[in-house]
Amino acid sequence: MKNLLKDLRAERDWSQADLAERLGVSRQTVNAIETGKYDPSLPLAFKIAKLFGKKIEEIFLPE
Amino acid sequence: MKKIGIAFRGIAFRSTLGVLVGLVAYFFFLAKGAWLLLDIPIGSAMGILIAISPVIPVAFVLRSVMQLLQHTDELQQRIQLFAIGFSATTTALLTFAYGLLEWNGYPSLPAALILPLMVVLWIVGMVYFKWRFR
Repeated sequence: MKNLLKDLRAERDWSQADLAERLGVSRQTVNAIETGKYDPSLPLAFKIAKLFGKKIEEIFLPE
Repeated sequence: MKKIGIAFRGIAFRSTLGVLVGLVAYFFFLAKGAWLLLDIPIGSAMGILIAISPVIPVAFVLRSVMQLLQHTDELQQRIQLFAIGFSATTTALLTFAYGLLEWNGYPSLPAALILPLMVVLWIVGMVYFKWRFR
């Protein structure tokens, strides 16, 4: 699954650590999601969508 | 949001401390027990109690590890799941294979070696899967 997390984070000038702190996860988790090595759970995906004010399908795209 | 991070760090610190204290206690019980068992008749009630006393700190360590796992995020939990799965299946395979070799004359090894083997394989699995998700 592709995602726009890195772009959205860059728009806000947040580091991976900043985003991790806001989501309550580790920086490694943010990095793994951004690089496509890990697909987040539905609750975390909702949390990400809420944080960026978008729908899940606007951030996560099927390959 | 910061509260989550701070709360987790507090739990992580307490759990890690619990693991370290448990390990120190384990080695103390092990060494002290081995020393005490020199003067106690084999099979006596006191001997049995002393012999299994290292199980108490090990249980304490496992409890701390479980607490830590419950409070880590989902990726860390997945890494731990893979690492524990790798450790359990590899330990099962190795002990089963060695058990078959024992039927062919290999020396019998103490069952107390199984837990350290599992822990070593768990650490190996953790390092590998952490690297894979990096």
